[in-house]
Amino acid sequence: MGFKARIALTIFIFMVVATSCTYSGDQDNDSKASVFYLINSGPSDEFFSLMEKGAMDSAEEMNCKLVVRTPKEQGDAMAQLDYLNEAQKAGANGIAIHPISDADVEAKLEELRLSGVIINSFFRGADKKTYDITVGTDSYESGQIAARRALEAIKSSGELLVITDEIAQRSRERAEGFSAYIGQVTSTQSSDVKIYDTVITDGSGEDSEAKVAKILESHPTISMIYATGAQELCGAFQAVSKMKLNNKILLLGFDNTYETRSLLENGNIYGLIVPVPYNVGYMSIRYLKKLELNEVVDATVNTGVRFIKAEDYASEDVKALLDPTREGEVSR
Amino acid sequence: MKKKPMVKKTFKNVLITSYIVLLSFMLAIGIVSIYYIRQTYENGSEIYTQTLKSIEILETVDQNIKETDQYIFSMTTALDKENHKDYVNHINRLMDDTAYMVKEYQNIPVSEKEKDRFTRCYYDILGYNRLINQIIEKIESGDVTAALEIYEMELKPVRLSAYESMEAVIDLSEESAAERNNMNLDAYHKMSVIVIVAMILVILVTILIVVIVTRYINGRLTKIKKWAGNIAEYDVSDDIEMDEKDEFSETYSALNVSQYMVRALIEKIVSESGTICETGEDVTLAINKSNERLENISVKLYDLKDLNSENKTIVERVQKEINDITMYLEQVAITSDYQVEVAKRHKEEVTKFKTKGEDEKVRETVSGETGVLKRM
Repeated sequence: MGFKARIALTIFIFMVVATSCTYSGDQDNDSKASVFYLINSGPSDEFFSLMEKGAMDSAEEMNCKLVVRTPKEQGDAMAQLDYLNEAQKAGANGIAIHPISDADVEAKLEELRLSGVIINSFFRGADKKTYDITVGTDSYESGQIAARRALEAIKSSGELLVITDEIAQRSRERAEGFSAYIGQVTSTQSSDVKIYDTVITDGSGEDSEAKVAKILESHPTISMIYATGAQELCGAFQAVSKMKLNNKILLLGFDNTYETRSLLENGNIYGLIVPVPYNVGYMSIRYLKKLELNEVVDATVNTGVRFIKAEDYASEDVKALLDPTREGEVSR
Repeated sequence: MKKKPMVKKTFKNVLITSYIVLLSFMLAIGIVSIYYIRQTYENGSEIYTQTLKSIEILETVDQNIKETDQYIFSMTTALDKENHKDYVNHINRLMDDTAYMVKEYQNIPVSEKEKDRFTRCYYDILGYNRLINQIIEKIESGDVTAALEIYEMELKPVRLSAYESMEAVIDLSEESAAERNNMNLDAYHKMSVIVIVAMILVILVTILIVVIVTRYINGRLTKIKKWAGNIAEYDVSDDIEMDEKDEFSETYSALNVSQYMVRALIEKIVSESGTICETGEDVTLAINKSNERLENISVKLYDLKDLNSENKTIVERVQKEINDITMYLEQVAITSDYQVEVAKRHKEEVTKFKTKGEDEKVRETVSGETGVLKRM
């Protein structure tokens, strides 16, 4: 055996050892990733973007596949039905949906449930046979929270003005919860607090401003204005500012938008009540997975709201909660 | 082009090369094994620091939240009003402990996903603490109803969010641990394959080396065996061929020198035994001639009958001496013949050895330095 042959043999041995080093044991890929669908009710706004972000983070953490579907037009119930059919064809394990119209999707959801697909509905009761679970914010309870915080602010006496819109169901529920709580307190305690009026707007800031201004002109003794949405709150603020009643009237409102954040940051409003859309999306997918794994969970998961006073705005957690840039942009 | 210097192929070099091949092989396996053992150790260490420690911290935080809940509940009951201050102190201690745990967690080198999830959990804890303070404030102001409402409606969702985040962090930690464990399993698989392949290769290489060395030694010894066989058959004509320079070549050279010496001795014996034969025959011939002459002298002395008694006695004595000499010479002739016969037999025996023919004869000299025969 020549010297070169011996060198070749040595190299061969090293190559065999090196090749064996690259061997990877049997890869355990037997667990197929779950497929979940997130179906929104309309074109993404800031709220839904954060909700999607939460859902995506959750899916990534649990190694699930998440498909997000959003109707191109607001209120397109037929598009939601198409997405449900798509999810059925794709063999989705679970669907989180914000139904535009229960009537349009009810039959399909029931069919999907019977075939073993887990259904999660946002902002609806879980008592219906079409849903396994509801993950979201209880708007009625949010209204009650707002009422208690309002009472904290105005102490034992004062008149309240409620502004809500005629379109959004959650706004109506927030107004109802608020009124019910105030009514309960005033009936059981010796309180001199009353709701002066409930103003229904068309959902725009202009309409809100106009209607609030009209009421304040005739009744400037209002202690606090409670707005069930961001547009109503901004409209009310405009009216109060123009009438220079900022020091006399407290403002309390809902939703986290650029405008409402600015009002809070500048101390123009007493406080802001915000749902946590990120948590809604995050927990929706998390609970779909829990149900898929047959874990015992509550039928209703209340992600709650956070009441933020202007003085708490600088807090680290509040900034993280309110500032969408901290949450990151949703990319699809 | 420069010619590469060839490595001298000797038995020693063959053994050293085999040793280096096996040693390199074992070294390679050793290095790879140490690498994987190190990797397994690091994975185990990371499982401890990242997973076990983080779970331990999160369990403490979880316990702190539960204890805080208990104190809040106790505070809402009228009977425990006297102990409110103690409860508040306990709650503050738990909050401080949670804050410390959060700092501890931040020192653990976890993945970005875990860090991000824990940050959200941390924000929930901050929100939870703020609500706890509000509840305490309400209780101390006597508004237990408001405290319970905050607890039920506002604190519970925050706590749920914190719990879910903690659970998610634990899940991620466990996933990370499982991943590390899989890496350990992978390292184990690799090590198993390497060891099995190494064992097979060591066996193959050892067999190969044994075969090569045996063939090598056999090949060299066969030449000596053949050479010895030739000598047994009176053939000292062929020297052992020297193809490679190794330890065996030196032995061959020494054997060739001894064969050369034997060959020279044989030639000398042949030559000198011839001389002995010739000399013996000459001696016998000379003795025979001497005997004939002595017999003639003896006959002539016998014919001298008229000699006086004194002379007769002398003649008889001379005849006797001549007879003795003749007998002695005959004995010498017999001995000489015998010696000639022996020399002839020895010559015949020695001439059985096949040495180089006259035409093949070459001048051979012995190299003084190496002892290797040089043909000129």
